[in-house]
Amino acid sequence: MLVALLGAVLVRVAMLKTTDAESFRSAGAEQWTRSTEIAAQRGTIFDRHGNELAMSVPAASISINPKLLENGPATVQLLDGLLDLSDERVESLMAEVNKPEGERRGFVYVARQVDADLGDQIRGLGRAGINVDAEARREMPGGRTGQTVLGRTDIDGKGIAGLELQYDDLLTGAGGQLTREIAPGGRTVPGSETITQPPVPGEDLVLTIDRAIQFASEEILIEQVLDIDARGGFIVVLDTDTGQIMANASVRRDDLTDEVEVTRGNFVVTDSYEPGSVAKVITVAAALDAGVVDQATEFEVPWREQYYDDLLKDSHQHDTEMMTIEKILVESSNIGTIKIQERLGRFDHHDYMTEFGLGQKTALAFPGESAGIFKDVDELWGSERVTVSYGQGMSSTPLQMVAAVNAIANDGVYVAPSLVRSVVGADGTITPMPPNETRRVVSQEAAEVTARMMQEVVCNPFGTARRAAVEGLPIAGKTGTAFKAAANGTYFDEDGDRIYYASFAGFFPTDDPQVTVLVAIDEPPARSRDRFGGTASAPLFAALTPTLIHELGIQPGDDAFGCEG
Amino acid sequence: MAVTVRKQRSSPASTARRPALSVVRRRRRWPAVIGVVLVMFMLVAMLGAAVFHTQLAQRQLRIDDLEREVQSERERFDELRRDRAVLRSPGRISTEAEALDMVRGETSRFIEVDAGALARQLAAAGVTDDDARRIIGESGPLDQFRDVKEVSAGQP
Repeated sequence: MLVALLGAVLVRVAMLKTTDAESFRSAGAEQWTRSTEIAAQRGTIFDRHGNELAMSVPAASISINPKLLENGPATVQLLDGLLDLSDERVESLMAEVNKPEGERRGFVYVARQVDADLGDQIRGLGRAGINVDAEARREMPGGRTGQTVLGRTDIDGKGIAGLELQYDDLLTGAGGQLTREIAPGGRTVPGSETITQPPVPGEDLVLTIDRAIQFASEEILIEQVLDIDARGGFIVVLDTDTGQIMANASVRRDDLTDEVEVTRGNFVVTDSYEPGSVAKVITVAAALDAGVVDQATEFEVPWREQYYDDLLKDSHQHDTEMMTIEKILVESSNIGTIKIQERLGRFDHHDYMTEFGLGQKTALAFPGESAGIFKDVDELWGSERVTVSYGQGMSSTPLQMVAAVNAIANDGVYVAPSLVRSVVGADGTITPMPPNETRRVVSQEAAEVTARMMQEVVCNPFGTARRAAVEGLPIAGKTGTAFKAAANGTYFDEDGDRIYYASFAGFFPTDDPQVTVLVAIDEPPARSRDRFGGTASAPLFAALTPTLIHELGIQPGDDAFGCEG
Repeated sequence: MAVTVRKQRSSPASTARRPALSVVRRRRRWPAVIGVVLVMFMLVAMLGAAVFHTQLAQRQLRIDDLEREVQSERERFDELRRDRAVLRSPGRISTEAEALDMVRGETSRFIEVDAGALARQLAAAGVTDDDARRIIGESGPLDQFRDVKEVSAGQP
């Protein structure tokens, strides 16, 4: 009988351990455990040298369960003392905890993304009704440096702008699950948290951006925009050979505070402007490549001429004179450039402009990127047909324009710009991005001749870019002073003043270009001498050069010289 | 003096009161033994199971503690990375430099350094151990980050 009884007990124990085990376990778990999703560690974004530009750090979210609080108002005051909540927040929390018992909610956020140490401190209080959950906080250790391209995430860590958005899937990873036991009263049993499904961390990005050059570009821009009271500005720095973007800086004056700040939006790729005379280098290079002109070709150039319905002019009055194409470029003659375009033919000219990347988005695929406005040749009407030769009657983003000029620096080969260099996998392996697309747009000879002419733009006493010159460094470039369309559809603001877009695009060393830079100032004051590309933008190119030389180790050849040679 | 004790003969009356007796067979003891053994075995087994489960729970607690420590160290690693990145950021360095009345350089010059002089200077700076040299001199933030990722790949 005893044996039978013991046997029965054994059988029951066996059943509890085997067939009935799962059901009891589940029932118990349902009663006393809670599962929460744990977000995967978001990937880090590095600059080209491995410096962190954006990364996630441990943080905590603090919430309360008003139904379980022993003393709601006291708890709110306690949390206020620890978290330094705003008055509005305290007021709203007090309203929640003072509701009649039947109307209270079971979950109310108090604060998100607080320091992890502070979260541990609050958790250590062991107060019923206060929940502390781990979460991550996205930070940019370099402050605002690079925020133009990095974009941002929302409070839940999801990318909503810039590269954070573009590469959100890659950076996010896959979430996991955390199970914890709940004691009577709703508190988490200390030490009961178990990761039942580990999260898979996101992958990391290594950008082409150089943090030091990015910072220097932003600082120089902010200083200049403040100095001359402009609206904003851009600087783009490309590695000539690879098209990798080493700096993508955008600053703008805030309409309300009047402060000049690094923008959160990447206007270098999302906004387009009439580039003005910088586009003349494309017309010249195209004509040289097509063989319709050479260095000795001259044109009779008046200071103004009627085209279709418009009387077009040069920037300054001059006698009708014979000009070589170099002189046309150096003195930035609009009429002279039109003559070159006419010699080339406007259809061929349009094709060359397209080959140089105008009118189409780059390979960057950046969120919100603009293709600019570059009409089909058949859609151009009136004087537009000729003004496109000097960058008016069309629009391009700063990135499109610097990539176009870079083709001249790169011996006539267009290379698509890029922002991401490689991806770091979960096991630390680096996967480089595929090489950028390249295509030849003009011959090497045409590019070299154009580059030498662009060096004259900087060095010639009549050149418009003399303020871009740097002692001992051969620099080639072109200025642009374009009219910018106003909101009213004209080129004049409400005061009757013109609105300008002043730019300079250049590269160095001329004989073996390493880096191509575009500097643009948006809406410099209309009545000041700082409204020109040569005065507003060219000096910033010169100011940035020491940083570029230092960071990139660009050492001019022994026989190289600047304008002084 | 000797006393003779005569053995009393059984009387017919006492014979008549003697109960009927028979030879009792010796009982088998092995079922009881087996039962006791089984009971002992069960008790030992249950005790063993209890001890085993206790050990299991203790080991699991230890594993949980270790996992929490690993997670805590990873979080600390990330915090230190962030702190290092802040210290090395151009913005902070620029601010500190300006506080020391330093100004941004406007020109750059390249100076040739004699290789021999450089070698002498390095030697004078002293020898560091391989690990320190690797960490300080040869590996950057990304390399160190990748090393940690490689070690912790696939682990919770």
